[in-house]
Amino acid sequence: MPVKPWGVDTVAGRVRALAVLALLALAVLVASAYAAVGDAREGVRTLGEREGPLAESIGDMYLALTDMDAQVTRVLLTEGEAGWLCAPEVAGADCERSGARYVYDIRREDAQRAALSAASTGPTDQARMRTVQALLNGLHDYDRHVQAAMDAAAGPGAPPPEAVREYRTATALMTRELLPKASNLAGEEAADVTTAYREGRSSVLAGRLRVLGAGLALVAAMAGLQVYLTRRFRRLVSLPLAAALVGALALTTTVATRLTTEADRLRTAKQTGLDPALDLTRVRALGTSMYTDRARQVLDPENADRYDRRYLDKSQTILHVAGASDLDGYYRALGRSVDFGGYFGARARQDANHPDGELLSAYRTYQDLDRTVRELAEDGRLDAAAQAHLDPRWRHLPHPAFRAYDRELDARISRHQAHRVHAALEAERALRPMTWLPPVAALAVGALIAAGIWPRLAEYR
Amino acid sequence: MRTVRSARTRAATVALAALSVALLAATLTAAPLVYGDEPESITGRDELVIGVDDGLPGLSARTGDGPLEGFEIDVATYVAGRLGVAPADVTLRPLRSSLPEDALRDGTIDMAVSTRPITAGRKDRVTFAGPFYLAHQDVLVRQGDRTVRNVQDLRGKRICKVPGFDSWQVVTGEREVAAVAVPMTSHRGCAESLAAGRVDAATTDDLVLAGLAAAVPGTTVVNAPFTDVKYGIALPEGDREGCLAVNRILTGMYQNGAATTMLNRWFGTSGLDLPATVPQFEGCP
Repeated sequence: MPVKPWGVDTVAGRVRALAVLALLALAVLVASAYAAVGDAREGVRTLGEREGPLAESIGDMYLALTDMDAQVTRVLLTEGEAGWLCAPEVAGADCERSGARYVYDIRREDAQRAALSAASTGPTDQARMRTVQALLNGLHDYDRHVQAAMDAAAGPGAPPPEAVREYRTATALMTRELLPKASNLAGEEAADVTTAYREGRSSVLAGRLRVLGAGLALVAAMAGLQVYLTRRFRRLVSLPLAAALVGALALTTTVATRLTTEADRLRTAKQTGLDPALDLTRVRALGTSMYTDRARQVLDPENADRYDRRYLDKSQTILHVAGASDLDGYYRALGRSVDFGGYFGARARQDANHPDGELLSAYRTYQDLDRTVRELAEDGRLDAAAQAHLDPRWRHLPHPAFRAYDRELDARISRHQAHRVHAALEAERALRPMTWLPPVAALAVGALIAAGIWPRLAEYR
Repeated sequence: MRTVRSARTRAATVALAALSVALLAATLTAAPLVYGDEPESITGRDELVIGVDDGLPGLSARTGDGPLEGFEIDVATYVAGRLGVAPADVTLRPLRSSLPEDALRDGTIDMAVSTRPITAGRKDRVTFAGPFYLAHQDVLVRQGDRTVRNVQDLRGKRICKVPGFDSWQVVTGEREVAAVAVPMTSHRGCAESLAAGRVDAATTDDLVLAGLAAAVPGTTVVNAPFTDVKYGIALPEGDREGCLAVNRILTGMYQNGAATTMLNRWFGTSGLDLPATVPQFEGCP
């Protein structure tokens, strides 16, 4: 019989073949772990450092635009054009630029920065680039109309028709062009993050499956080796092999559990961090925008009907009440409704542990206020409506009821953003030992396997 | 004794080794299959059946025995083309009385481009790309009629009541404008009665009115929009990839001027202010 040292017809050959199988499984285990850890890190950074914050800032662009429109509307409503038009650097110190103007400028910069970051992300997407360009141009046009409205409205008394006309053009530009574009950009970015997250998470889970499979294959191969050696050489148990088996099991479970935790943290960062933060930012923008719609109704009574309709549409998007086809019905239903949909409804269903009682009651209080303002406006008492719409003490501020509601939203947005950041940090930290642990453990297991079979093979030399 | 034990040892060893090899092979091949399942999408199809409206001039209607023509058809063909489906492989299927969501569910159509608006209820059953057009309820009057400037001016006027459309109710019910509803069998018949002076106004979505205005001489759109109606592209529920792809196509359609060309072709003479920018999308699941 010819000597075939690597064949499986000799004892040594069989031992070697089993050992090679075990080492192969070990190699697959380590490679899978390495790849899965890489995927996990990629996923964590996507949500924590790159696309996640970017999606938030592009989502905030929508809010920034509604903020700008809100400032303009309120200034015209409170006849604060002088403070708006004041340019201290030109006029010297004899006028004071209003806070509203500063807020407008800051939010404009926020929007512009977010738009530019949307353009610079990812592969060059011509369509997105054009959207950003159109958005920036539109912002410029909007500025121009606002300036014209302020110029025309400067001077005592309610804004003249010319100012209202310019204002109407500006606000229509905002509603028809700027906001839809910002919304579409935000939606696209959010969809990109979701795609990246889903791919990342499923590759981590697929990696875990590979690690488990390779780990089991390793255990099976080593058990085979153990059985063969025990019977063939009449030893009880090979200690190094037993240790290698324990090591392999420990390595497999450690890597698999760690990957499970990573997948969970990714989900936490996405589903209790980024997603609700983006949703609530949209709700906040809708709230600002509908609060402004009521002011628009006072400022531009000719189009009152349209603004009123938009107010209802936005209310229904935030908190949907079935069957309320007009605002009177909506206000009534809001007082007694327990079964509701929209953003708030979805939120209540998803997360029963964190009831939004305070947020909802703040929303109801604000809607109660709006009901009063609307009644005054519909009776034609526009001055009284404007009075009731704004803070009774500081007229340049929104009404306290609206501010309280807005603050509730803001607090929740911050909390969700913090969840995202925290989950990403935790996940990143948990990944740190995973770069060196699997290869080192694998080397040890490999060495133990070698130590286990070496003396037996030596008997055949 | 020895041989039995030896045979058993061998069997156990072989079994364990085989198990190990099988596990390893399965691990390397099966893992991506378990976590890589995306639902079927309308992207990457060779042919498409698209549900459309019928009998709406300017949107989707036949001239004599000819094919369906109109803005809806142009949009459907454009979107299908950008999805890589040639016009010859597109089948246009009029929805008639069936709802797009039902037709999508039972698989008779792959997508629907129609004036049935996106609503919260429908969104639970199908995935909506778009809207491809944001319509508004508006008013159609006789050319030269200056008495109707907005919906409130319909007080005391005779307006059409077309079966299957509740737009007249929005005026008399929701808006509490005391208009007189006159029953009509179709929108076209309504527009003809309007031109002949048998009614004073028609009210429904602006594109439907614009189509009528272009088809029936002597009528014009007032341009007094008072509601938002989203014309979406309905896709099978959960087709996220398709939804994102169609939204990208629609963005491009407005950016490159194709949408403006289509709108002008069908509604250019109607008096309606036509939009030139893409509407705000509903967002994909």
